[in-house]
Amino acid sequence: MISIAGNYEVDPGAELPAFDQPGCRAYAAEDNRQPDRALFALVTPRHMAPRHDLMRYLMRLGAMPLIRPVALGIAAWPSSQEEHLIIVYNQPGGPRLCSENNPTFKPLREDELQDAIVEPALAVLKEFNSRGYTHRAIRADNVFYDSSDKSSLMLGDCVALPPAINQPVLYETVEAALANPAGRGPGWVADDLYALGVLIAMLLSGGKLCEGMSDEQILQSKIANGSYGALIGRNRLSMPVMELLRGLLCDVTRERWTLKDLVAWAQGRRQTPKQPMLPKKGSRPFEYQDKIFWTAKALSAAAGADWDMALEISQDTVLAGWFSRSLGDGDRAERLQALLRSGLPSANGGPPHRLVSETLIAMEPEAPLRYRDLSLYPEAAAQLLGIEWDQQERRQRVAEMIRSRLSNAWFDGQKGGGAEHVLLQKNFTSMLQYISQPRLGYGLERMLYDFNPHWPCRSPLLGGAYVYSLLQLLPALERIARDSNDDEVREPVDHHIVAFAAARARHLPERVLSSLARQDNPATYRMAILYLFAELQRETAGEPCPAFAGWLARLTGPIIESYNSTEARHTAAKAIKKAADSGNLSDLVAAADNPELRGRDEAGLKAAVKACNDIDEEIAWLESGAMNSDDFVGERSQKFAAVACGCLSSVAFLIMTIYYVAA
Amino acid sequence: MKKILQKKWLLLIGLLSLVFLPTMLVLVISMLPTFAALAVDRTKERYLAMGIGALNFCGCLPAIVILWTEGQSLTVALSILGDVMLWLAPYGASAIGWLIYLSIQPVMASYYAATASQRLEDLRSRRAELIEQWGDALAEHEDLERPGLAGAPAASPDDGDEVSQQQVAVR
Repeated sequence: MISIAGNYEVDPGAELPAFDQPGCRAYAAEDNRQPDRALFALVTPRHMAPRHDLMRYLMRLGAMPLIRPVALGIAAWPSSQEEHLIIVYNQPGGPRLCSENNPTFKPLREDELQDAIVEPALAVLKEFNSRGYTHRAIRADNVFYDSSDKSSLMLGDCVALPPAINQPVLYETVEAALANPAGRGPGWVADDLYALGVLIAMLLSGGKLCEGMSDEQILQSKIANGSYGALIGRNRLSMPVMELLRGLLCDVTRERWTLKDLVAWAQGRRQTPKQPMLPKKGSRPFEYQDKIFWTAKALSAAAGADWDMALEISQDTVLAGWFSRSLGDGDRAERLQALLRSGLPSANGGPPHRLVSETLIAMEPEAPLRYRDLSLYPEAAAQLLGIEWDQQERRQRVAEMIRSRLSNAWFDGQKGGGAEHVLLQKNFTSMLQYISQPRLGYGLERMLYDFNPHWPCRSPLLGGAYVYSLLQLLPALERIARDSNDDEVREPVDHHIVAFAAARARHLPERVLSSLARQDNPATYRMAILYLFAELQRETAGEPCPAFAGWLARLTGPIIESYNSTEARHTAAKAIKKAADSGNLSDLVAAADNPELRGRDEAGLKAAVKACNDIDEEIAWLESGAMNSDDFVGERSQKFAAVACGCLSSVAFLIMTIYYVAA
Repeated sequence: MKKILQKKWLLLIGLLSLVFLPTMLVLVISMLPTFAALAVDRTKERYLAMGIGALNFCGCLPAIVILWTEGQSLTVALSILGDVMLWLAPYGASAIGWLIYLSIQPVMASYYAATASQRLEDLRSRRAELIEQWGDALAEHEDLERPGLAGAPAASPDDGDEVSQQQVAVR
């Protein structure tokens, strides 16, 4: 049994596949204080961060029609011996509505909708919206029956994985569906309402909505017919349900029903159903190879998915002409022509990807920011980087996109956004600053940890440890130092650890980071390592870590050697050993960089240098035979003779004085 | 200025000679070896003149004491100058001075010849000790970079200096 948060125990041998989430396996869990409480635990993947803020908020809330987390903890999982973040949840009262293997279920009747799903979802979304959170995992296979009589439903987990990462294209708006799953971000309540609309349509169909259609077909159908048309088609619905679905599935975000509209509907206030707002069709289609496109949205979606096509059409004046003449959209046509005239530079003489990306933004500003195979909303850039960190090409793509400052063009194309966009633009400026400096503490790693506040540190040095907070870093390193029999002097820093520390620490001086860039000067560099960890220990008020301090002490060779005298080196080495044994890293720093000892050492060196110079001069003089020269001997002899005469006369004077006085 | 001072001294000596004429007479005649040494010694320090002068003066003292005890008159002074034994004291003392001066140089030459190699050994040994204690820093002391994270260039204009013990308060 694995203990979580002191009061809970997870049984790694008791799998509960009914509660599995994509990428997270479920296991039986128990509350030591209430053994009859039905719980389960999800073991989250090591390379992704759960939604910590939302999770902590939900843990404080009372009962809701939602699978709620009750505790979380980090523990080494027996099968891999690697640590994972484990979240304990309350079990739902009934089974899952459907699963991948069993996608169909008994359809709900229209009169059951309100009690079964609308009221529960409304309660959850209202609560979330009051704190600015979104669910972003509303889909049929993440819905559970609230009780064994299957009369009402509850929403499934939304915290174990990043938002919207497992949402099928069906449940996403056309724009969000164009984004890479990792690049969708938390979105807005409007996205949850859209997913709720799809879920309601799914419940009415018994799980047979868009059955047999691929994601691409669903997307094309939504673009061509509107979401309502694509999902409901000619199926007959009662007026209230039609009103509900037309409102929730509206493709224009600002026209989509809000929570207020949904509350009004639930209270029985009926409105005129929204008419579908389909994208404007051209008088003639845009043709590319054997494909034809009638709307800007369809063309933009196809070009975003096929970068070669985007490259070709963005450099052709035909595109602007089609917008102008066929769509009658002079503004966009002008913008496209201006882009073509601007001759945006290409990187290293390669294809003009930036021009293509800006062309796509001009064609469809509400679509995600697309750059080659990247497609993301700017607020999800750091999250995508984290999720796809192991793919070097994707990492570099993110860096390229940030360097090309495409986000500015995307923000310029948005209507509204206001303060949030200003903040996001500021974030992108910081990201650019970080990735422009490839030294320790900066780079893509700094972007990863700075803009994903709970992302686990991906440093290979940490081995199987799961470290998402500064509080866990030193204890993890202490454990590694304790368990290691490795006498080789490895440095306990890499780009991940330093960037993680720099992002999480509130008071880490920039001077420490700039000194960490001085790898050409081993003493300064190693000293900076000591300062870094001492500062972390101070900031986290951490426990003494003697094993890790011993590890750091083994790195102090160059620092000790930087003292000039052997005596100072012995003194420093002794003090370092004593400080390392105590486990206090501030003491270790003070022992290694003792200003008093260094001052004495410097002064001693100056005196020694002077003495040595004097000796050298004298040796040279002696070796030249000057000591036996007539001049030197003559001068010394005269001096000596004068002194001898002086002494002799003094004695004689004294004797005579005594004689005459006595006489 | 120097000339004025010299004139003042000459005037003072002239006046003293008038007042203490017998003493001055005895002194001038007794101190002739010193004047000779002053004339011979062309070194800046005038060690020879100083050494011989000191012994010469000691030799004059018995005559001066007799002169003063017997009334400091020209008669006494002339009788003293007529006493060979009283001449012998200052001139003998001067001769001792000359003897010391002449004999010390070969002794000193032998001494320095004997001690030079020992001194060389001592210096080399001391130098080795310094190098053992201070190592290469002695040779490179001008180029040494000290740790303590001072002196490293800042990464960007906003970064400020790098850390040092005083700057990063590890509390």
